[in-house]
Amino acid sequence: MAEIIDFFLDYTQQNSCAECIPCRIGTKRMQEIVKKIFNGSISDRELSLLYDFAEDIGASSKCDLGKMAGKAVKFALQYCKNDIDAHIKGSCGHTIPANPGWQSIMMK
Amino acid sequence: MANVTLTIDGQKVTVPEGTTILKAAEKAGVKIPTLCFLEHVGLRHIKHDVGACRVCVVEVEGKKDLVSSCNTPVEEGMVIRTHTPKVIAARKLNLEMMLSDHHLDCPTCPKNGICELQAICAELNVRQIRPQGEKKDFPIDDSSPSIMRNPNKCILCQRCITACKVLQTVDALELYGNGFDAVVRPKGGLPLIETQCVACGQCALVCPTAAIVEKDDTWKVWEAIADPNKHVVVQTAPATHVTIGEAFGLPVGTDITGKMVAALKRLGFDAVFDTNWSADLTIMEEGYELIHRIKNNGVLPQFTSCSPGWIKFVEEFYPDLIPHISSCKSPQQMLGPIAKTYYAEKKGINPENIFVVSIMPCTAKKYEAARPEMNAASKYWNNPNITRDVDVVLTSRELIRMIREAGIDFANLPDEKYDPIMGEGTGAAQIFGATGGVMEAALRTAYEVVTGKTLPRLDFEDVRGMKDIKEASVNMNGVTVKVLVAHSLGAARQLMDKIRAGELKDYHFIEIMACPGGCIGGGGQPIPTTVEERELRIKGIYERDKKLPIRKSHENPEIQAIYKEFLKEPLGHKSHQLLHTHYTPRGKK
Ligand code: SF4
Ligand code: SF4
Ligand code: SF4
Ligand code: FES
Repeated sequence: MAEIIDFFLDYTQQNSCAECIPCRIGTKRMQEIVKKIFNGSISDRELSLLYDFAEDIGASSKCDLGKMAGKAVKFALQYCKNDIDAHIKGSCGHTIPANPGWQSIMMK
Repeated sequence: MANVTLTIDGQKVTVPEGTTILKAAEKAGVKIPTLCFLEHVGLRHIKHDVGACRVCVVEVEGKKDLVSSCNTPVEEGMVIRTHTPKVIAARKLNLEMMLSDHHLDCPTCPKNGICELQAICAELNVRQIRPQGEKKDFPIDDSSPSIMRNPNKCILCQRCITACKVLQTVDALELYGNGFDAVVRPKGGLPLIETQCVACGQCALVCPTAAIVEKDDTWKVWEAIADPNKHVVVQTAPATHVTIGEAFGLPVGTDITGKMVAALKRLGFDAVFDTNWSADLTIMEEGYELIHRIKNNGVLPQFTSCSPGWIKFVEEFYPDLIPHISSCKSPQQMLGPIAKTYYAEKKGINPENIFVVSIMPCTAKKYEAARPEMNAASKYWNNPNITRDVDVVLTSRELIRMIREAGIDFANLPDEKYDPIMGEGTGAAQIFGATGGVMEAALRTAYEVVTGKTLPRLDFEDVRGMKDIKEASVNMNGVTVKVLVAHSLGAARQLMDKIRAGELKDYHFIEIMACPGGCIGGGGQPIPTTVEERELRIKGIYERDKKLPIRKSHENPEIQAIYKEFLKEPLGHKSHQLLHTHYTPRGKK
């Protein structure tokens, strides 16, 4: 799940028209935190900030691209918590490996 | 138009359909904070509401997401809450995000104290910047003599783009790229000086941060004043006479001419002159040029040439219309060479030692003074050691900073008088500061010169005020002279397109000012310069005109003196050497 979020945020960054702050800067900041999930260096404070970001970006972006990015992260944090925890601990047993086909859809 | 009733923070309010939530809230007595929104960009009908900052978001009952109030129209029965925890948290975090990608060096920042980003963070009680991460890092663009760009302070609100593209139709700036890497930059990523930018500074007036500011040349002036070998003279543009006071707490539009003279003397200038004097000189030359063109089937309509942003605009976009432009230099560029010739001679000062400083409302004046051809005094004396006709141009904002630096209590200064020889200015010159003023001043003189009669009424109300395009006509000895006035380059473009299409042939004279409201709305004026401020400053200009003892340029005794002693006659040999110029076709078309 963490990888999918990372892909999705990449996609958002590349397609963001850059007009509004939450989408332009917020999704970048979220991605910077999400990357820390992979090496387990994320702190509790950053995790809670990530949640605040997701909430705010989902609610206050100008268009659906930014809103989706926020909501996707919020969804992941809410419903895939065990997957993320496992990632942080470095024991992501349940992670579905990133599918190259999925990646190409997301990156288009 | 139908009315819509809604509830904002418990208050019922009824507003016309199409009103934004922001405006409806205002009516309900609720203030919603904004940052990127700008109700009027220079002119009343140009609005900027792209919804970039997301600071004005509010909660609407029944909607899961927040909505931006600056650009969302009201709907019947809406129930809006403007300061719920969700709203407040979103506003703060959006501002924190903005700050996390901003080079925050407020104490040394040119906008420190007048920065809208600073102000909104104070207003919304932002006390921390939680998000941290990569920051943009672009080089500073100081290629233009007028404008400095620091993209690292840009919040991408795009106000500058609206000013440049919609108001001025110059379109020198663009939003380039996607996501975090996006940037507002000169078209094509070129240094600003290499674009079609006309240096008008309207972008700097609307920029909420220090991403676009005027070039600061104050140090050059401090050094010149301190140099005992230099005779430093200064001139003050008509539009500065009613604007400098704003920065020192005086009401907008207050006439501070006497105080400004006192302040300049205290700063240590050797002589304080008035650009009003050379505005009167401009009227003599430009008025006679017009009469000459009318009598000799010259190219008509004649265009005014006082506004350097406008001149570059013609050079860039309408080079084919250059023959219409009056060959007269602007008042700033008339005073410079006269200081280094006539004044130098009269006072027995070596022109090599004369240093001319201008106090201008305008960023484009810096560009104008730097034009290679603006060294008439050096050519006149055939002496390469004589520096440029105008050595340094300071905008109103820079002078304000120098007055502060020197610790001068501006608001309580006594009135002092300009120095003789180039210190007398008439009411006609004073109104150069407002849109329509050059035209009105020219008509006051042309009428009397052509008819030999006294003008029954000096005031040409038709060409005054904030309407984009204005017109008037005057009968002079059986010839109806028809004139047009436009301000803002967008309005100018409308007229230029008509002329290119072969229309407006029966008009004689067109005044164009690059900035909305004329020079009182110039790109170097105090910030903020809103439409309301422009109107109050215009009022101040006409009040000062009424107060002045002489209100027609040709009646200025110091102007009469220079013609008698030095220039001999308008459009004469010396006038051509010192007071007239030529233009350069630029642009791609
Ligand atoms: S632009 Fe404003 S917020 Fe940014 S450094 Fe300058 S004063 Fe501070
Ligand atoms: S100075 Fe005027 S022309 Fe140049 S970028 Fe700014 S608004 Fe555009
Ligand atoms: S340069 Fe100034 S006005 Fe233009 S987008 Fe950046 S912050 Fe806004
Ligand atoms: S003020 Fe409404 S989005 Fe910036």
